[in-house]
Amino acid sequence: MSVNVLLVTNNARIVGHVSTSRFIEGTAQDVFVAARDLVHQGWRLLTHPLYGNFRPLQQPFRSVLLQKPSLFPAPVDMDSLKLLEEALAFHALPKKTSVADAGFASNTLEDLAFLDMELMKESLLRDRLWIP
Amino acid sequence: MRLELHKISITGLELGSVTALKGGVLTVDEKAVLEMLRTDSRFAEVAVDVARPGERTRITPVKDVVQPRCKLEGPGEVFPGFIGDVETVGSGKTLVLDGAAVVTCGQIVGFQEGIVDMSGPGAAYTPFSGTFNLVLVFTPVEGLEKHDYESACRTAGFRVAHYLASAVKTARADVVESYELPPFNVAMTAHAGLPKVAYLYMLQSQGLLHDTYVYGVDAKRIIPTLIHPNEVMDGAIVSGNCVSACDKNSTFSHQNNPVIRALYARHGRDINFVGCIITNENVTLADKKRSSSYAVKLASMLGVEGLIISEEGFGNPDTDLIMNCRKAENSGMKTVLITDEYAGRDGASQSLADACKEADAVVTGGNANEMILLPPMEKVIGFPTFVNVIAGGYEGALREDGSLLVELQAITGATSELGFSRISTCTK
Repeated sequence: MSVNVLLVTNNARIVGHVSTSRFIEGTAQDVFVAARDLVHQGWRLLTHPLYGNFRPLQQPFRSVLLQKPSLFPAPVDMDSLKLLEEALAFHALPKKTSVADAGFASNTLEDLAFLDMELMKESLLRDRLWIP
Repeated sequence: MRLELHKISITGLELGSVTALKGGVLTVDEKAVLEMLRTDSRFAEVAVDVARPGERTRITPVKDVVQPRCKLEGPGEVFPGFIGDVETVGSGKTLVLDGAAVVTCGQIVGFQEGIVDMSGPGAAYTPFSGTFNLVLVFTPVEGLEKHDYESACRTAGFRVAHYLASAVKTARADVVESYELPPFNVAMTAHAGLPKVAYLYMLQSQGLLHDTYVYGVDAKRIIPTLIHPNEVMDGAIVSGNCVSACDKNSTFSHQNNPVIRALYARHGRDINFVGCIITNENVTLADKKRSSSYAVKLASMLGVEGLIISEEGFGNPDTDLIMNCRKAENSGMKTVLITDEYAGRDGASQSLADACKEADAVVTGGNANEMILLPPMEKVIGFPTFVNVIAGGYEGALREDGSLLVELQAITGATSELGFSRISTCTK
């Protein structure tokens, strides 16, 4: 995987399938905030943060793929920032401290993690970033 | 390209020992259907049931709904890429069992969705409470990979829908409708004085359980392209999308796309309907930019003044919808968007994840967050316990008496972004 690309995720299942990732032990909102911090430093979003037809309470897992700027300091990519702010607004719900607090049965959580991985895999495969 | 739809009105549905049609009542050879489906080794078990309008029956979790059709004349076969070959469809004659539907039911992942109530307050919200439904319930072999399970369910629906129509293809149609658009060299100069209008048809294409197929090709792999609206009627576009039941476009709603029907109805009268462009709703931002620019470029090449844009799903696709709108408007086209809303249970929240000032003509399919109490039914077909974890349901949604308190999102087709709905309103 290119070191210029980073996957920020709270889905442990996907971490082993990409060479450069940052695991966030937290909620979807925590993932978006971590991604937004990078965007403020000049990184750009490669994937839409609201992929999958799930509302916030239906899918606790989120993964965001970002590209590092070629030079620092880099200007803030306003499109990336806007998408993350919209995602945070969409997820502006009573904050839970972890995925485990979301109240899903364990088999449902497994399927949600699997589906999150599958939807992200489509993008990773396309850019030859997926490690089987 | 000219297509005739030969419609037979179905007024009853029974299981029996031979598939036949008599006086509008379709009898289905249950054994033949089961034998056909059991040839697919991916299923451990298949069950067939019937749900009729007005019955106290609930079907859940619904994966797809398919209208029985088959070709009578002309090239190819319906559902190209899945049934028969991949020959271009959309011309000749097609038989339609109007009023019948094949409903597929399966439990692909732990959270499931899609409720069809045949009576009661929920029935008004789904178009499939008004059809005579042959319901197929699938249990996979142990350990079947989820992509394979989804593919097996999807294909089974097409096979049975095609089988039903083919089995009665000698029956006489009650109604014949014809649909024809001229080639572009004629269309460009026809109907002087009427505005040229095209339809930009957005297809869900994010990945597993969020896919659409065009002639068997995964829509996320395409760049936007032209399709004749008649091809859509012959099943060139099929659904592999079963997350968010209220605004998934079932195969049935693609086959009967009301936007296409409305554009045809007003063609030559109010507008010059010149064609249909399909595009996707991928996850990567590069794909979004590429597809929206390319789709609008195609519309510009057609020289249209108006563009109707329908969305499928919400969240990620809202960005595609707004990109399409903004780029088309900035290219000088007037747009009308068809979407639905996630405006909170009180309707007070922002409806879409994205917006732009150019989106000033928007049609809504309704608020998916609105709550509805569905009373208990005498009969449930499928896997009812999963209602607790469907999209739009929540823990505790299924009550002890069998009633359900859910958001409209849980009901199949409740806020269709094609406008394929039993409920509407209009302003004058």
